[in-house]
Amino acid sequence: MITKKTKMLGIALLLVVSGLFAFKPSTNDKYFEIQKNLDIFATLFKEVNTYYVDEINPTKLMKTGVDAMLKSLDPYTNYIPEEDLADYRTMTTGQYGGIGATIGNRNGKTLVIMPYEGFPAHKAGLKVGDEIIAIDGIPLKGKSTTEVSKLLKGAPRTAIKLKVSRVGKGNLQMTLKRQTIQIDNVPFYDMIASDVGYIQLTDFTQGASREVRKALHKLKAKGAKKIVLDLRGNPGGLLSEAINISNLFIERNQEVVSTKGKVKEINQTYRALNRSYDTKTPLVVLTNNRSASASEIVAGVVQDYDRGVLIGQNTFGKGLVQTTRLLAYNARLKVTTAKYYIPSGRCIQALDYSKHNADGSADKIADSLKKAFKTKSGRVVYDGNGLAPDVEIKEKVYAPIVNSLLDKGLLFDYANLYASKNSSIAKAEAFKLTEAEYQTFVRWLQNKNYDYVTEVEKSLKTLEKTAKSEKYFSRIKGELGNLKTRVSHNKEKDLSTFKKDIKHLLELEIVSRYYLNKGLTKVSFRADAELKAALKLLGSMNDYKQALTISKKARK
Amino acid sequence: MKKFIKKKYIVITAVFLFVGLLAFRPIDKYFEIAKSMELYAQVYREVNQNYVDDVSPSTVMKNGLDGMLKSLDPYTNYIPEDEIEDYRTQNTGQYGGIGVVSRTYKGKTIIVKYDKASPAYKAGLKIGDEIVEVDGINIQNKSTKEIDKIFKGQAGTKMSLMITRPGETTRKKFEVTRQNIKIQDVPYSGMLASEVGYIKLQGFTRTASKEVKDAFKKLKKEGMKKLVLDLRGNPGGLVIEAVNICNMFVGRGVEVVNTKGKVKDFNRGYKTMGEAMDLEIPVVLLLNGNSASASEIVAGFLQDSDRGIIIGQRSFGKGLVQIPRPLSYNSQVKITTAKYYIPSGRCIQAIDYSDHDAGALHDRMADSLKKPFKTKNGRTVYDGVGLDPDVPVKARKLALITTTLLEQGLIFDYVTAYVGKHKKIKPAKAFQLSNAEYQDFVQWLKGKQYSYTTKVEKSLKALVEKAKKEKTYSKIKAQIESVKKKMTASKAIDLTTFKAEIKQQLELEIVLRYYLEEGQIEATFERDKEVQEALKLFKNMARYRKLLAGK
Repeated sequence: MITKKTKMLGIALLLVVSGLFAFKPSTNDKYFEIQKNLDIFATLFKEVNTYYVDEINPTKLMKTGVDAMLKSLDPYTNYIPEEDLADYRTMTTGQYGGIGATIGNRNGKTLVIMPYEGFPAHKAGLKVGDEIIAIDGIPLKGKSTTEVSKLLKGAPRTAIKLKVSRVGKGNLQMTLKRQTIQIDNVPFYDMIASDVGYIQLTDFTQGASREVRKALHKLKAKGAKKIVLDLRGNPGGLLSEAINISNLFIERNQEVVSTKGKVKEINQTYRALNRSYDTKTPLVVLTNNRSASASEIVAGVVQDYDRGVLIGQNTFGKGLVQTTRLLAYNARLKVTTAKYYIPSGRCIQALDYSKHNADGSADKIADSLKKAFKTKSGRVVYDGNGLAPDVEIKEKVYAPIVNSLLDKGLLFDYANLYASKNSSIAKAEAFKLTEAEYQTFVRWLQNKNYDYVTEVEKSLKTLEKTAKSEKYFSRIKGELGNLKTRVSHNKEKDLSTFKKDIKHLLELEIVSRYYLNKGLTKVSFRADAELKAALKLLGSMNDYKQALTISKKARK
Repeated sequence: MKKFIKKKYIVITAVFLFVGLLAFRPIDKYFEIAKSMELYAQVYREVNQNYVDDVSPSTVMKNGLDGMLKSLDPYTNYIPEDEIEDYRTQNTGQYGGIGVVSRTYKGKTIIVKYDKASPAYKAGLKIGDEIVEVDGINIQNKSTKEIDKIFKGQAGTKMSLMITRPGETTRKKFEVTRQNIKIQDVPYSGMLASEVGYIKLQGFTRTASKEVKDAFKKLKKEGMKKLVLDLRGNPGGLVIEAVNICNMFVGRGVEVVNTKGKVKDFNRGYKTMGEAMDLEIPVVLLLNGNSASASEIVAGFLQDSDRGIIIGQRSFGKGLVQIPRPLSYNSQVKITTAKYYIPSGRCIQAIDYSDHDAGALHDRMADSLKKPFKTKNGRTVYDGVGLDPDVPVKARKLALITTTLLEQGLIFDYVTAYVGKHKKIKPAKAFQLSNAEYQDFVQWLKGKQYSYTTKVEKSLKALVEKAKKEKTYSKIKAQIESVKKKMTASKAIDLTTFKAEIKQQLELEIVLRYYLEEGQIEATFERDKEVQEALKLFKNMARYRKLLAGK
């Protein structure tokens, strides 16, 4: 999500004053049509509130209408009522008043997923896996994460009392003082090889570019001669931060991105206004299909200027820019005002929201309509479908047994048990479960419910049902029976077949109990195919240069 | 299949309130409404002005209003000015046109139905004719909505049609004068057997009760002593017409239905106002899952009064009443203002829409939550699930091959060719295709393109995709292939497996060409399970009485 809050707001306010309809010839017709429809809306809204059979909540009804109206445009044009404003601010600033921990809900239990280092929860000794039973005497049973999150948040310096249950320790009481929490945009950076530095960028709130710059600085001091910038799962954020981060890697005054919309005043070209930080250091950017928006600007700039190599999966494809507009009663409207274009001239928006299907969905831009563009060195790239990585790594897909153990929280629970019995473990980088320990885990699973129905098994059930309703069942019964035998799984066998993945994920859980997010990230590197590809490429500067010059990439 | 009249499940009462009802609301509610309206208006203006693409203000507004009203229930609707004509037609059954039902498929608009009184029939147009031009405008590849607009117009105006007729090489030109067309609520009435009369009621527009009464009188003259009233597929209409039809069987001063809503002024009971036409005549009502609203008032009233037997399937279950309210610029809003209750005190609304949160799932009421009520004779009936038939008959579902042949117009085209070769056929009730003739159809199909994907094949495809994702495809590939092979083989003999129903559809289409809709309805009786069940019941009046007594 890109929100050019302050700047755009200024532009828009200016527009209102100067008369908005001057840009269309059929001004009066359109103005009349708007007025007419508003009049119809007003009468309809009153009528429905007055005469409808049940009592209805006008605010809710209006919001439903507004949401439906905006959803017919695109998913990024949103109405934000006053009561959601605090969350919305957190999204752009990364700041809120709270205890500094991620929480989650499983089977009605509120669990601590991750305390942030140095913040109240961590300082007070709250641990990963702790169950929060009550906040300030209010029991949390049956409350949703959103509700619990509201209870946890509050003005800085206010006290909050938690009742917590910890495996092996029973119930604990702790009192914390809330504090302004600043969520890091760069939660982790470190050296991952003798001359390779790694920066994980998970967001684009205010200060993101400063954090990246600082990380770069520190890594260089540690001897980094090559950099991996990890944008996987980064959904985007502020456009200005994306511009400033791009600015770090390209020459001053080069164009970063330009925006184009219906309202001329929105059309702008953004350039690298600051002195660049580093235009030479070999760079790899990791992307996946959840790298969106501001992430795609940074990665797109890197690709279009041949400044670095993209490794991973095709990015999300969000090429639309939103502006936040102030409404009455302190509400806000986030409205898509422009498309953005990266230096090669392409817009990477994947879904075409200017046309909608009957069911309201939008289709991907057809391959035949995609246009080719050239990067600075002449490599061919395309618009209309996110960014295609220069080195593609297939997305990791877990087997159903693994997902079942994750979904049912069994790895999480076992890690809690493990942590209650072992006061310390080896350093994160060195920690591994022994074969015997894995077998202990397998034995522990024996009386747990971790069975699952695979999607294939589910599909087979549907198949049998449709065959019956369409009266083909008796004809294909035998064949379906054979298929069923083949499809059926054996959960005990799966535990050894997929041992490698399960063991790795269990190690991740356990390490997070002792070394929090940092430890988790370090251990995750062991099974990180994209990162391994990055190290391999950076290990051979010849290959790296080739990846940036060879232009025979048939991507369609 | 396109019809010029779209029917929706509506009940409209002709009640209009004129008091400003907001007056008795608490102030803060009034403020909340005003605030909501201001915010909505602001969002709307902003979007029109600043959205990245040019948007149509009317479309954006309609999307918003539709989404808002959909969160209430499916019957509360916004009707913009350009849809008002269609909406009126729904209530009155009247429109200016040439009286044909056409079907637009793959860009071709073909006449599929009309009656003898229609201007189209009188002008010499035939079922099967493809309309190519209207008043010099080529209508090929136009949407059904556009074509609909072109066809409709003031009575007395002329329309010039250019058509192509199957089997003829040159185009033909016809001049047809539009008339006021009244869609019949009773498209057919006649004797099913000696003493058993049959009335098909397909809508509840303003003339419904008059049409039923006229048919009733005619049948009585023909010796009717027992009545089958067919409400299958009837989506409802005006409440008052339902009340007047009930009146025929119970006499004056009986409460048929009462409505209750938030606005007390709308709460009222509807009583019969006239004399009965026949207090004694045994009645069977035919119902199915598409019998809704006013149909359910008629059938529900007669069930609760033990005045008739329902045969067929559970009805739709619409127990909500709407009224139209005028808005500015000639548009309207149809609002659900009340629930209705039939004499036992039950409301038959099947889906509970009272959770008005956006995206809330509205399930059919669980059988365990329905409450029992008593009919006049003390039989137990339930609320919340539509009307249960006293004599259930399993619904019939056509096989996919049959619906495919119908939808892709192959049965239609074959019959058009058949009609070209046969000057006349046997009377509607007696007409049957011989096995040889069916084989001729099968032969004819061999040269035709038609394909259908069964749900089984679709499910199988979905399974393959999942297996590929879960990386087990290679393990089950052989088994999948053998299922596929068997399915292909099964489909190859579909024309034999489902011969009976395909043959019937052919026969019905043929009968329509020679005897129009009347003949078609008569031709179905023999194979109509519900009609046969009704005849069987009327032969055993002791059982009829026992069913009503609840023993």
